[in-house]
Amino acid sequence: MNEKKLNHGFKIPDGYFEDFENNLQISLELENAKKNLGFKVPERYFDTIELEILDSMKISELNSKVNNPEPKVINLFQKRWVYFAAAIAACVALIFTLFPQKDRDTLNLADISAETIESYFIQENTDFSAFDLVTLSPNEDFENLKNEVDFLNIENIEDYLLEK
Amino acid sequence: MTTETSLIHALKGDLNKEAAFSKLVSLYKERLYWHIRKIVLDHDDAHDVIQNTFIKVFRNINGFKEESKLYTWLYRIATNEAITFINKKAKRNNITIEEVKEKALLNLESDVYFEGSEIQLKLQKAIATLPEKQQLVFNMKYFEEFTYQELSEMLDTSVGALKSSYHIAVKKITSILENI
Repeated sequence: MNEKKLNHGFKIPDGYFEDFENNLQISLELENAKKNLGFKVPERYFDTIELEILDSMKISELNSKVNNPEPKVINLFQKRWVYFAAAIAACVALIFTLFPQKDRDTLNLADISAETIESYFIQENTDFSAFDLVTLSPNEDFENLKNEVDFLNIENIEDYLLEK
Repeated sequence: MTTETSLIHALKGDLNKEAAFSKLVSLYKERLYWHIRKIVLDHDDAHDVIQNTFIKVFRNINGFKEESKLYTWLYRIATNEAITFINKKAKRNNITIEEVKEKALLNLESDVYFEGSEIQLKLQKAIATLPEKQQLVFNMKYFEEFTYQELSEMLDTSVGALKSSYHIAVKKITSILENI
């Protein structure tokens, strides 16, 4: 064979071909080991383990409940004072419901100034008839009005003008 | 609604919770068992760990935020439980974690539930020489064929760090097997 043809420039590690068979054997055995590592399990192990695991989980859950029991619930209504407190609270709530705030603080007409009432009638453009006015006004107002009108006779008017 | 989503809803709800857990155990018992067994090596230990794993899943299912797939969450719990189991065993026997693993490896030779060939035993010995994280990455990538993205979610490690760990692990194991 021509010596020049073999000199292609590529190189290989020392002893590569000497170890080739050995390395190939290792690779093959490693490949076989992928399928079987030599470990075994007892007969029907995977058929029985499932039940065993589920039982272990139940036992573990039970232990967990025993070691961390749920907090004890105290029945509030076992104590008599709670009944009284609840009854009082219900009464207070009933008062507030039946008698709202506006009923308890009634506003008197006397508290409203005449200007406020006047401006209300002007702004709201309230259409008041004479009849409405008579119906709404108390009798005393008419009595006072009558007295004032009676007082305004000719003599009194002349006296007033002479004094001025 | 996908099968996984409806299973999660059933697991989180009060109705059919037990039936949903039964289904979950049935779906994942074998996969999780073999994953755990590769970490603890001993069958009885793997049995204890898988029980603890499902109990933890049962207790914490309402805390599962569904930001990842259910199986990645399960593998994450299983891995943590296996590591916690080894740590507790070391503490209980007043020995180091490495000593617990060495002991498990020695017991493997006489274990009735190990029928591996000489090369399979050598492989376990080679894996045992790796640091804990490299062992996990090697087992989960090589044997269980998870993607780096899945491993990243399960082991809470970046994809870059996982790739690096895996390549170092493969190199070490090949080198050990060559020299045994």
